[in-house]
Amino acid sequence: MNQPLIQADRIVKTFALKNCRLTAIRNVSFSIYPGQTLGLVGESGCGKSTLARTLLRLYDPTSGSIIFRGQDITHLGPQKMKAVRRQMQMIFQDPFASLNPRMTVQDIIAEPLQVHRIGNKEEQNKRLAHLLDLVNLPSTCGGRFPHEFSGGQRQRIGIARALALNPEFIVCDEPISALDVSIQAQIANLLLALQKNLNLTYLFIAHDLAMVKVLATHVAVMYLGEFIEIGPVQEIFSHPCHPYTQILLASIPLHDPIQESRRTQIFLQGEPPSPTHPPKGCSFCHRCPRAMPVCFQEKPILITVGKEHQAACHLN
Amino acid sequence: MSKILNVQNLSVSFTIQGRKLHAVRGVSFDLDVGEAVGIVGESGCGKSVAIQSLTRLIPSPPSYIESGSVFFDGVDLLKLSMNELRSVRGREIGMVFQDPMTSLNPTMKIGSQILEGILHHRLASKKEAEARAIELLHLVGIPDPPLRFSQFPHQLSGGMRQRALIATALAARPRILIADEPTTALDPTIQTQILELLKQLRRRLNMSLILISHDIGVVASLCDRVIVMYAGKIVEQGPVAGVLNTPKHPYTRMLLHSLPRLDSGHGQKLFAIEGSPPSLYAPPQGCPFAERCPEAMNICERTPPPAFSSVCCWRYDSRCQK
Repeated sequence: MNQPLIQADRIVKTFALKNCRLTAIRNVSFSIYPGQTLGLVGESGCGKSTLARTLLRLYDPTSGSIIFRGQDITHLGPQKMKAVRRQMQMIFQDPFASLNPRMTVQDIIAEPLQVHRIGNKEEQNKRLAHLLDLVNLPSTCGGRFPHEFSGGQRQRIGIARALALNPEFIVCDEPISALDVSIQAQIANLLLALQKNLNLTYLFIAHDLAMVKVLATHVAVMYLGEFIEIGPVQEIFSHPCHPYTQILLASIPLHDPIQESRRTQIFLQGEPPSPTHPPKGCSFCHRCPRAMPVCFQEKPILITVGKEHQAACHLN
Repeated sequence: MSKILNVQNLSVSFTIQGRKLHAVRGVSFDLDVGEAVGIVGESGCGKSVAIQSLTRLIPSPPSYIESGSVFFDGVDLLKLSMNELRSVRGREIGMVFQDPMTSLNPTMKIGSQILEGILHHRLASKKEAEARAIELLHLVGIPDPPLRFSQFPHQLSGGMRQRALIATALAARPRILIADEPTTALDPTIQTQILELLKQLRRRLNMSLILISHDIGVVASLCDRVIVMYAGKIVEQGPVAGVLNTPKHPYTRMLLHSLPRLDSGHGQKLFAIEGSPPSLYAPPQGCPFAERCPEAMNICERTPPPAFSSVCCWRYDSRCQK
């Protein structure tokens, strides 16, 4: 295949706390190719959002490098970074908190155009009308304020804002989970259609695995700041190799009560360890039902277990 | 089985800046002894308001119970004085809320928060109550109960806090446990743990359970019966297997159809219900779902459908042409 759109190479991100260091991202490498969607799943606090923000250089990585369209952007200065940012945008989880309540919809959507000084007033208005049309909002709503809209419509406004600069790469940080069940499918369909029509590449953070199955082409499973398994979506869902991925897939309640009552449940004891004191061996060893003595001693590395499919587990 | 709770025609409204919001509009349902009922619906459909109104937990004003009755053991809870009600809350009907971060008092030790319920209802002496609190912590699966007893909420993780919250709700051995989105704030692997805990507790203590959730999977795994609410009304209710496998109301059917499934393929367009729920400031006159319903008939917009056994939909009227 051609060149990856965005590539992360051995990224580490450490935060200094009062009296200790918290390593949120531990040596993560991956590539996303144009037109793909990488679904990033894992429990809260495992570093999904930190990784996404580091990729956009909203945080600076402690070490490692980020390569965007063949260019190393890890140490770009603010001016050059601003130009790169036109290509990478973000859609946020909470459509209530991510829109400025004092700005009208047209000001919110046109703000990126003004920041990057694109077009005159007339061209910006034309772009605005086009963007509203893209996300299926009525063209008359530009003068209204966010509070006049429902959650689903607000998320559409946030998506229009992310699309304003015609980016190639969009980070979607749980864009669906805060929405009502009957609205979730609408937004998921919109994201799929936009990807097809505008040739977008997504990093899609989610905890709803069924939604990841629909939206993502590839899935990365994170645990305690590390990728423990990554691969094409079909591979991960049909042959999960890491015990954590297997348990995660088994923990989704099914909608069908008959299937639900028949399936065997695997229970995971305990909770994730603290990222300030990660365990010595595999980060999952203390909760893993299949842990072996070696798991407590030696950290497993990602090894290839199938086509494009890698897992970090001593069992493989 | 005998009924423990009987809710008739419950209507609750709020006055917000002089405007009336019809949150719950004529809700009726029963709960049997030992039964688990799940209430599903989107946010704002009135499921939490309806359930919190059973023990009048929503401050009035701004809320008003417009009509209805809630019979618990033959007593109408809506007619009790606040003092009488206090002997029901916590004692007979325990409650677990969604967010374990905000529903525990951060300045009180876990143990004291469990003791509070037991001591308030004068169920035991301080000493016995302490022993019982530790036993409860053990029951909800918290390791090292004596240590946790004297810790503050911030020293516990999210899952542990939710377990502690369940322990406080169980402190006075209620006959009904109400759980309002008990796992929404939790991670999937922790959610499985808490659901299993609720399942076991229900069996062991022979409690009735009302579970509010927007996650149909959670209800399917835990409940015997399900109530589907939309825009302040019950649109369908019945045994879990019946409602979820052969949904009758178009809303239930479309909602279930719109959920992504694990067996769905990548890039497969999801079925989406167009539009959004109606405003409850001016609720529609007829069926609340008529506006979004592909099967709507003229009558649906004008006249609210009565319950045709388990479903409120004109399509099930015998006069309707199939």
